[in-house]
Amino acid sequence: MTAPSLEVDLAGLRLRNPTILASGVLGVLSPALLSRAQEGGAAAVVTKTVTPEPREGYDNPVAVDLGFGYVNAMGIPNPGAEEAARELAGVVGSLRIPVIAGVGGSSARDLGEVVSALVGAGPDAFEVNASCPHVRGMGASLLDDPREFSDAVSAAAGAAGGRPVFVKLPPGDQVEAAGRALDAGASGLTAVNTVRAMVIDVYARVPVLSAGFGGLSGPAIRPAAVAAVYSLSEAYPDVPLVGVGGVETWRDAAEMMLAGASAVGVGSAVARRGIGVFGEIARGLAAYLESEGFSSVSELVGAAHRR
Amino acid sequence: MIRSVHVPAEILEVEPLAPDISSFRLALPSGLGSSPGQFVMVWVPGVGEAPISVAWEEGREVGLVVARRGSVTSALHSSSPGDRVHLRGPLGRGFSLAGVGRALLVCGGYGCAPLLGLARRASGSGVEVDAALGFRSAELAILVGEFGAASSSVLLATDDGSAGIRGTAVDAAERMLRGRRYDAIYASGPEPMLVEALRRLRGAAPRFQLSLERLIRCGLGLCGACEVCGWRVCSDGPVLDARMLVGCPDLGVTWRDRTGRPTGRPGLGGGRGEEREERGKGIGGGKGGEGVRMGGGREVIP
Repeated sequence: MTAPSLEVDLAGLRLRNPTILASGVLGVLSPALLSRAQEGGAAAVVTKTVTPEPREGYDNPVAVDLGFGYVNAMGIPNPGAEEAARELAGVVGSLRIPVIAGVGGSSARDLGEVVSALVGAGPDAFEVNASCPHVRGMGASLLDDPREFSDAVSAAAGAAGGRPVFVKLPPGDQVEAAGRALDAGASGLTAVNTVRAMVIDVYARVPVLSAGFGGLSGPAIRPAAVAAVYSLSEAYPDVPLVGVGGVETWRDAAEMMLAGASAVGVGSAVARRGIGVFGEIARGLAAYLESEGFSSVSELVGAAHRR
Repeated sequence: MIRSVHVPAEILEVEPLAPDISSFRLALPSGLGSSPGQFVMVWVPGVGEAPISVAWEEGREVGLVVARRGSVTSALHSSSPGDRVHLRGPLGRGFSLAGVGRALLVCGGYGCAPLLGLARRASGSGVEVDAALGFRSAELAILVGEFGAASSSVLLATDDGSAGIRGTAVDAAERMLRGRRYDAIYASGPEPMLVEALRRLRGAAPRFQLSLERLIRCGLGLCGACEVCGWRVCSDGPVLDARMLVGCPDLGVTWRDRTGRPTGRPGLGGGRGEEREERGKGIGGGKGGEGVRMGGGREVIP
């Protein structure tokens, strides 16, 4: 019997396995660093969110390790669309795997501008960050204005030159927002971003992060992510989904795919387990598929819905 | 579960070592369990958080050598015994002494701080240690007596010849290499000095490790802000093997600003704008944007 196939099709992107570096992690446009993710087994990378203008992000502290997950508020540091386009071209030229450009902004105009600036660099797809929990006027607050949100997705899709556009959603019930994104031209959905969170130091007696609020990631949020993916998959069974949230092992990845994800984003595990975590997940999935009698990993996608 | 939330630390003693460089002795609830070369993030609530190398650790006490660089280090310099700061760590990877019988330490400026902890750890476990220390001038020479106590011999160098030999730490190291063989060379200091050390000392010992200092944000290996040639200084480093840095075009040449954009050396002509705190972290014990250069040599402690 031949070894089971790990290849998946994600909105037309051919992935050698279902693991993708999640946005914001290893979040500089460095060909050398992102190549390490590729060598570590990642089948695609999503870049840090790029905004129209440069952002320095927040002052330290920007992250805390709670053991069961991280709480971070970086403040979307990025060099701005113009500079990012230059650096992105270098990344696209260096990597053999698909590169998905993370994009963000506070309006339809911003999104159109960023995608237009980056499209020439040749990314394979875009991911609109509609879910950052701690930057006011950006990320999740895009969802507060349904009209602006739809316009933003359509502006991104319109400027993407036919490349797939994913929309990254926050945790919780986002079936309605997802519907608006799809109506506006999104090719797929990424779920979930971090969970809005805060850590207060009991000796300093103030919030630790300089921004106050941040986003919780890691194993703590995995069941919430599975629930979100399951709901989206139930509502939109034919839409490509990337499941993100606390995936660290092949078992986590298999669970996310059974819930309906065609691929899984891996973020915090890169720090917790090392950059080789992608390959570890892929190898574990292969062994699982073989022992359970599957011929392709894509047979897992959404299988938990067919009771 | 390994977690790295902050722990409160009481400042027991502040000792000025040189203009704008002081040594801080801190008491923690319990020991950090750090290895030489690892660092902590020092948080001053309301001000910020900066990476500082652990200079030494003993029981519940930790020593940090801090150069005044930005808001957090300035706040530390204004603090007094009895004040409290908050530490998370130890973070990153330190030096490896495994299998080493005789080591040469090469450092410049406040980059000497993490090597002091290494010298003490090494000599305490039977490793013979020699140290080549470089500073701009006698006034800026720090920790010389401490290295003397933990080393077989120390060669001091200053750029202007006001103490020790005239020259750099790398010059001093070359001199020490003339008469002896070492199992390992450990270097820490400003990046241009490390580039020089790589160029001139690589191959002189089977093991060669360097401690780097870069802008550090999360400190956990997540955000990528400290990347240099594919390595995350906060988690793959701050101590990296020389072979990981061979052919690295960014070393001593390209840094990243807070937006992640490649830029010139922070604090010098090529940088953009004023320093913010996380730039040029005190990881080398506080090497930094100051252009600390090493100098030549004379045997201070035979």
